[in-house]
Amino acid sequence: MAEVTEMLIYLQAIPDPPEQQRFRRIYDRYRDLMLHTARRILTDPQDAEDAVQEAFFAIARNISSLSDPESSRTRSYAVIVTERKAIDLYRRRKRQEALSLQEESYGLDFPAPSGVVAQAIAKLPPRDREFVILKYAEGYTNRELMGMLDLSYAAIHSIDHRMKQRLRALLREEGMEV
Amino acid sequence: MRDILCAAALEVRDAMLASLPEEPCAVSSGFEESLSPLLADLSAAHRPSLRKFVEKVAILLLLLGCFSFASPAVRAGMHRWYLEVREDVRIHYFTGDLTDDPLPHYAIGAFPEGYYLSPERETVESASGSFRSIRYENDEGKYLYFDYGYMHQGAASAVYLDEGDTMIETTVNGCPAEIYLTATPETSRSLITWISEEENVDFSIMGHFSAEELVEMAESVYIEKKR
Repeated sequence: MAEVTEMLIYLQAIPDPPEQQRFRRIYDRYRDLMLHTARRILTDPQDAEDAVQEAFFAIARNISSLSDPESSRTRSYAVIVTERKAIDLYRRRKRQEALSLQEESYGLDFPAPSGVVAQAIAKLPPRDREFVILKYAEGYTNRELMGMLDLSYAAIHSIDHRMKQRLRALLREEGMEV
Repeated sequence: MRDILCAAALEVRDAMLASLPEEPCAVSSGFEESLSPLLADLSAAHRPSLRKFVEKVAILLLLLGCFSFASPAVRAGMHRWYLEVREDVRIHYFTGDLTDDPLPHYAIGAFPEGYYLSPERETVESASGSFRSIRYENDEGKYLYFDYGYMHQGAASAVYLDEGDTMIETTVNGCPAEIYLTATPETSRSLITWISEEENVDFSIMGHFSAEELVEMAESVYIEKKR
């Protein structure tokens, strides 16, 4: 259920009619995809809808970075921001339980790609994998990612550094040096 | 390293996206209806929406511009608001200039036990500082919203009613007030809204409470501090 004040945030976030239209196109095009994404992580259908709504608010706030609703960049972001919101919601639901370090493993599960490096990326924690896709597959800049992932500049660099370290370690296990 | 990363990242992206089905996904009526006002072209938003929410909500349509064409059902004399009733929507339109005075910080004196400021959501203020929304929650995951804002031209407060919901006219410390009781208290919140002409502020409290509890909370609202 969208909350009242989130509506207000949304309206404030998209004051420009062309951006409103762009948001509408993103909604029409990716709503189902985002719901499928959320339902992979959250078993409760209402929770999944809540996560998708939060994802749409994030999209609204970052609409200026999503210039082409039809592009793979926008599609990837729609899925990834939904995955993030779903994981966040899952954590909130589990807040009163003692979460183990395994929480990082919750995220989208998909068939492993064939390439060794790609397999290593797929094994990264969701937040690192999401970062890799948006930065290295879709070409979003660090500045864009700060807003899109709601991270500080320092956090972006930290994730990039940590991700590369993890990736190198994973590849070493496969007998590769990068 | 970067070229390898880029190629591999594309491969992962494709695997991830390919794993997600494309077919239409059924959603609850609440999802679609509650998002629909957000998706409306704001050029059409000069006409008050008649869309119906599953859960009734009170909204401040701060960015929806002027509503000068509206045909009010009740115009409150020299007051700074008028009421329009359309089917399942009751909208208070506000008039007058926006004051330069900073909006005071209000608090609920008869605060219900077990509620605390929502850690996941900061207090929301409009860009002009003329509206503030505070969300509280309890350990059962129930929310309490306390919203208030200056009345001025271009702002409105709308309440969308579901079938079976009831509205009761009352007063809060002598101010005109309306209580909206949900027909489905297990899933929806009830609401009290009142207008203080003296303070030029429209208030609302929304949550899983009875009419009596809502009135008690409303009558206990006080100025915590002036900004």
